[in-house]
Formats: sequence, C-alpha cells, structure tokens
Amino acid sequence: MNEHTVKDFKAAYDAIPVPEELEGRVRSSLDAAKRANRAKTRARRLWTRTGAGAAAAMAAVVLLANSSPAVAQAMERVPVLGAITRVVTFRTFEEEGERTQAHVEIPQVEGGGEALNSAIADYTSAIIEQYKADAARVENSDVEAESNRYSLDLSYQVVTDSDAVFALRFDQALVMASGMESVKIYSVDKTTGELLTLADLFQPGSGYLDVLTENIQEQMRTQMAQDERLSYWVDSDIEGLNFTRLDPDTAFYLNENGDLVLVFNEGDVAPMYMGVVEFTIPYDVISGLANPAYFS
Amino acid sequence: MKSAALQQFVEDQILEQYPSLYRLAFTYVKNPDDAMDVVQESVYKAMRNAAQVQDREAVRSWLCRIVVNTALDLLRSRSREVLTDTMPEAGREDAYADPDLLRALDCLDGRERTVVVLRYFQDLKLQEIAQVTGENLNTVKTILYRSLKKLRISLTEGDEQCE
Repeated sequence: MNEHTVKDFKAAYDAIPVPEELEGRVRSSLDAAKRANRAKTRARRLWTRTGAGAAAAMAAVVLLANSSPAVAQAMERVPVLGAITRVVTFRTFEEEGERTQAHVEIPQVEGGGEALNSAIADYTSAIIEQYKADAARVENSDVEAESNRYSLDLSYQVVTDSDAVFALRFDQALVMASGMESVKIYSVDKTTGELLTLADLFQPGSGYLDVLTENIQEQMRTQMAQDERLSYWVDSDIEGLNFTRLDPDTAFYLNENGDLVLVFNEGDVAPMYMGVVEFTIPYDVISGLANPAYFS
Repeated sequence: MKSAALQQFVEDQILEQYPSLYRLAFTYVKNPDDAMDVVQESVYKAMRNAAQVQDREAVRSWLCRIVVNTALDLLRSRSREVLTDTMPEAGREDAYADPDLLRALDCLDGRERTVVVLRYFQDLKLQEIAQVTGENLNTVKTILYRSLKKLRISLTEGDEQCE
C-alpha cells in the first residue's frame, strides 16, 4: 500500500458516516455505567457507616438488657427494625469460569424480620441458580460459541431508611452478548417487619394507579420535549408499546426527601438503551391518596 | 481521588473518540445498527472497568481493544445463530461510503484487518497494536507486511481476486 493509497483509504474510512443517534446512546451508556459504579461504592460506604453505628447500639442493648429486668422487658417491645437495622453482606457468591463470571452480594438485614430476609434469600438464590444453569450452557457450548461470554453482577444498597420504612435495592447487571440491567427493591414496614407493596402506601380505593400513571406520562412528555436524546414509550404510534397503566408490582422506594420513586427495568417503558429509568413523584400529586403512615 | 480523576479522563476520551470507535466497529460488523450496539456496549464496559487502566497513555488503545473484542463477540454470536435456528437475514447491503476501497479490507482475515485498521485508521503504534491484539511485536509486523501485500494485489486486480 503506497502513500497515496493509504491516504485514500483513510479518507474512505473517515467518510463512514456516524449516525446522530450514537451520541445519545454513548451518553446513556456512560450514565448507566457511572450509576452502576456509584451503586457499588455507595453500598460499601453505607455498610461501613451503619456498621459502626450499629455496633455501638448493640453494645448499649447488651448493657441495658443486663442492667435490670424492667429494662429487659421493655426492650422486647422495641419495634422489629426500629432499634437496630444492620445490613451486612452475609455471603458473597463469586465464580469465575473460562467464559463466565459472577459476583453476587447476598445481604442479610439483622433484626429485619423473617419476611424480608426470606424474600432476599429466595431472590438471590433464584438468580444464582439461573446463573449456574446459564453458565453451564455457555461453558459446555461448541467451538462456534468460543467467545460467548456471560457475566452477572448483583449488588445492593439501602435506598430508604426513614422512621417508618426501610428499603433495600438490588441492581442486577447481566451481560450476555449485550448487557441487561434490572432492579428489584424490597421495602419493609419497620414496625411490623412485613414487606410493603405499592398499594400499601396508598389509601384503599384511592385509584392511585391512575394518578401515578398520569403523572409519569406527563414527566415522560416533559423530559422528551426538553431533551431529544431521551425517549420513552408514550404517544407512540406502535400499538401495544405505550406505557398506559402502571403495574402495581413496579419497584419503588422513598428517597431521602420522603418522595416516592418508581423504578422501571430496562425496556419496560423506554427503549433498552435508556437503561433503568426512575421517576420521582412529587408529594403534592399524591397528597390526597397517600397513606400517612409512610409519608413524613 | 486518583480513580475518580482517571474515570473522568476515560469518560472524556470516550466522548472525544466515539465517532472513531464507531468506524472501527463498523469495519467489523458493517452496518450502522450493529456498530452502534458494539460502541454502546463497549462504552459501558470501559466505564465499568475504568479503574483497571494502567496509565493515561494506554486509554486509547485500551478502548480500541474493547471495541474490537466486542465486535468479534457479536460476529461470533451471529454466526452461531445462523448455524442453529435463525434464517440468514435477507441481503443487507454493506454501507461503505467508498465501497471499492474499504471492501478491499474484506480480503483480509480478522487478525490482518485489525492490524491494518488500527495502524492506518486509528493511528496506533505497532507496540500498541501488539497490546490490543495480544500478539508479540514481531508477529504484528509480519501480519502488517502480509496484509499490505494482499491489499495491493486486490486493489490492482479488483475485487474478484479476493479469496
């Protein structure tokens, strides 16, 4: 290849048009990765901080319980989660095969009650079982699939820790040829230890689903009007694609301001490249329907 | 602190270089949709693993490496799909801007094409290419030499000469 041809080649190469859409996709990928990076460090930070606090609380409990029978009796009535909530990584499932890799953090909430901890155990073991089955298939597959890779990353973080509600969020990143993110959140009533559903946050018969659906649709339209890189499935011509009604099983948590945040898995309400999307519902939208026990 | 700065640097590099990474991906998968998928997935992988980068000098070749591997993965998974159950997609046209020139690259096998593209289009040094491909420096030189010879033949004699 002489000098002249090299230049022509380079020119032909540089003339490969780059689609405009790409920039938005690159940025959303960057955001998704940064979010995932942050989720990890945040989870770790929180653990160290609560670790120290809980240890101190624990020492106090031991001390008090021994000091008098009256105190010991009073201690028994302390709400399940009210006194001590300590989240620890109970077990880490780590596996690295030739073409497969998994990192799963299995937390346990001390004093978190049977309902929460067994839900966590069921969820994480279902994911690990699925991983093992898929990994075996990948590892044993034929030569054609030599570079077929499979990796799984599951991390958790505490997203709500108010007086009334405690919520633990799991972020699952699955890479099989292309990446897939999903989220699962367990919210618990701190006084009863029972798992909370979205419906529990509202007064019975309040029609909350319609109100939330409408607000989310509005937010989608506003966001899309403001930023053309964003895209949600609302007002699309394609039948059956649009987000028309909120699923009552949608993941949620209460953020640090006590506002309700709804979290949708990749591909639920927007094209996959948008990743996991979240909508914060302003309190005044739901003030008439909310169950006051959970909103401060 | 150091890792935060490094992560920022990687992000800046990605935002600056994504068009060139897209072209690199395009020479493998040869259609815009797949090339965008490759870039998007590569960007995610890069950002997730930004902490592993040894030094700033190496970021560019490291990004190329991720793109090349992701593109190859996609091609391999495609060839598997075809072998098992899916029907081959009905004639999708390659969308090269200058078909003759860039199609000449199709004469090269995967290793050869990687070396040529990285050397002349991405302007990587031979040593960097060796890092990207995991070959030793001399192998890279040999591959480059062989590839240029093949390209010269195919350019002078036309597409039909490609094996």
